[in-house]
Amino acid sequence: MMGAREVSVSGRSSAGRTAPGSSGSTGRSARRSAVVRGGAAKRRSAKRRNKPAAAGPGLSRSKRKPASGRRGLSLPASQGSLSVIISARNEEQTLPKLLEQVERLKPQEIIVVLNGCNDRSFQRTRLCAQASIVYIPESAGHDVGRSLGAKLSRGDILLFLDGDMVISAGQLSSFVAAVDRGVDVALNDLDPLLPPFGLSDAVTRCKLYLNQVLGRPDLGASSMTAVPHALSRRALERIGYRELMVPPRALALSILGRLRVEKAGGVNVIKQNRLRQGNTGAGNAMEQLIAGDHAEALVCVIAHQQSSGQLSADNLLEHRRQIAAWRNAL
Amino acid sequence: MKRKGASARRTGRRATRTTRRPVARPVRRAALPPAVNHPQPEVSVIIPAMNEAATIAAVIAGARGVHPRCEVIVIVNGSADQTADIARSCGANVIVYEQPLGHDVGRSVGAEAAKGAVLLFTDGDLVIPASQLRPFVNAVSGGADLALNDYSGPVRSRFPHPVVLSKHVLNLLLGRSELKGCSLTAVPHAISRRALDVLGSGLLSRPPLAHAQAVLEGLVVTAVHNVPVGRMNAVRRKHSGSDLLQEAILRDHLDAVAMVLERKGGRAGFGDGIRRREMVR
Repeated sequence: MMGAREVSVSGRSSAGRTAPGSSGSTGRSARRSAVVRGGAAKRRSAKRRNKPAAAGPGLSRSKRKPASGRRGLSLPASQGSLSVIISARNEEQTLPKLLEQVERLKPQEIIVVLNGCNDRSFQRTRLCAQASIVYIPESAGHDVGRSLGAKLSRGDILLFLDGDMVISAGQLSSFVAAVDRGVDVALNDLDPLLPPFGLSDAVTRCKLYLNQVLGRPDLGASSMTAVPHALSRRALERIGYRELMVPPRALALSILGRLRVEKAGGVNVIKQNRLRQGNTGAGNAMEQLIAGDHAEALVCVIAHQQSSGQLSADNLLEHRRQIAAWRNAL
Repeated sequence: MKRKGASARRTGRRATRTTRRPVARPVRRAALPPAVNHPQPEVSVIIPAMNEAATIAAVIAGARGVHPRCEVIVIVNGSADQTADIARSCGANVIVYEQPLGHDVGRSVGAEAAKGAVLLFTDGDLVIPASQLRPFVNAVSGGADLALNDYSGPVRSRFPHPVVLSKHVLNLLLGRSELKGCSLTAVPHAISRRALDVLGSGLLSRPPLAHAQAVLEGLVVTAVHNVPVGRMNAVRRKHSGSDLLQEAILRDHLDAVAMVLERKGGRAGFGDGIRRREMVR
C-alpha cells in the first residue's frame, strides 16, 4: 500500500522512495501486539513512569541514553493513527537510534525526508523496515522536508522530528498524547532553558514577540520552529502543508485560525543540537533565516488585524487623550 | 554606541552616582545659568508636564545647564496645579492646554515651538542634573541625528515586560539589534533639526514610529548615555503601567513593525538560506 504511492519532488527525477517489506512488517506488528496484550499491568506502570516527562520539562531524563535497556517498555497507545515525519541531512549517526525510539510509538507510518546527504544516512534509514524515504540529493532546508513529509502523510496525528537528535519514545509520546486528547498544535516547551532576556538571542526574542502579538504570551518562546512538535490532521488541513515551510507563519495561522495550540512537553533540544557552522554565533545563517521567518509571520498577523479593523487609526488620537486624562487622575 | 556591551550591567551603579553627583560637586551651583530663554537658542529643551508642580522647577534648573544658549519650553497640559506659574517664574516658554494633550503629544507641540538646532526631550516628572543631559546635546552637536538614552529597561528576567520586548524586536527587524531596547520612546533624548525636518513634528507623538522612520531614512541613530529612568520614576510608572497605556504603546510598536516590513519587504531583509520553496507544490 505504501509503496504504491508516488513521490515527485521538483522536476528532478532523482527523488526515490523505499517501501517496507510486507512480510517483515506483519511479523513485526504481530510481535508488537503480543507485547501490548500481555502487558496490561506493565502498561499502567509505564504510564506512571512517563508522566513526569509529559508534565514538567523532563530534562534530567534526557541525560540518560534513551534507548538502553528499555525496549520492552510499552507506551500508552494513541487512539488516532500516527505519522512520524523526520527531516534529516547527514545524520547517519543519530538516525538509526532515533528510528528505534520512533518505532516504539507504533506509528502507522514513518516518513524520512533526506536532503543533501553525502553520508550513509540513506542506507542507515533503509534498515528501518517501516520507514518510507523521500530522497532529495540537494540541500533543501529542513522546513521543506517537513512540508513534503506532511504532504505525503496520512495519519490523524503528525509528529515532526529532526534527524540530528535522539529523543526517547517516552518523551515523544507526550506530544502524541496531547494531540490525541484534542490539541491541534503541540509544542515543545523550551522556557525553562531560556537565559535572562538580556542575554537571549535574536531567535528567542522573535519567538517571544510573535506569541505576544498573537495574544498568547503563555506560550513563552514555544514555536513550530523547534522540534519535536505534533499537529492534528485538522490543523494540517486548516493551515495547508505548504505553510509548514515557514514554521512561525504556520504557528501564526494556527492561532489566528483558532486552533488549539499548547505546550505539550519539554525536550532539551538546545543541549543536543549539533553545532554546525551555520547555527553558531550571533547573526548566523540560521538566526537570519528564523528572524526572516518571524517577519513573515508578523506580516501575516498584521494583515489579519488590519482586515478585522483592530488597527484602525480613526480613534487613535481620541484614545490617547483618554489615556492621558486617565493617567492624570492618578 | 561608545558604551557597547556594558550598559546592562552598569545600570545599577550609575543610578547611585546620578543621585550623588550634585552633592559631590557643589561648585556647579555657584555658576547658575540665567533664568531666561536665550533669544537665539542653540538648544531647545522640551518638557511636557501634567500636574508636576512639585518637580518642574528642579527639572527646568537641570535643563538650563545643558548649553549657554538654551531655551526651555514647557508644555503644560491638563494641569490643575501651579505647574504653569512655576515654569513661567523659571523663565520658560510655557504653552498651556486646559485639556490633557494625550500621551506623548506634548513632544510634537514642543518641537513645533522649538527654535534650536538641537532638540532635547525630557519629562516634567524627571529631575535630571545638567551633567546627565549634556551627553545627548553633545552627541547631536557632534553629528548624531537621534541621541538616545542607553536604557533598555529591565532585562534580567527570562520574560521581559511586553514593551521592553517590543523595543528589542523593533530594533532587530530594523537591522539594528545592537541598539537593544533603546528607543525614542524613552527620555531623555536629543534630536537634530535635520531629524525633525525628515520626521515631521507630528510623528514625534508616536515615538516608536518616529524611531523606525529615522532608521529607515538613514539618519544617524545612536545610544549615547545611560540615564536609568526606570528607577527614577518607578512609583509613577508603576501606577500608570495600565492596560490602556500599555496597549497604546504596544500598538505603536506593532505599527512601527508594520511600517518596517512594508519598507524592507516581508522578510525584513533577512535571507531564505538554503530553503528551496519551489520543491513543495
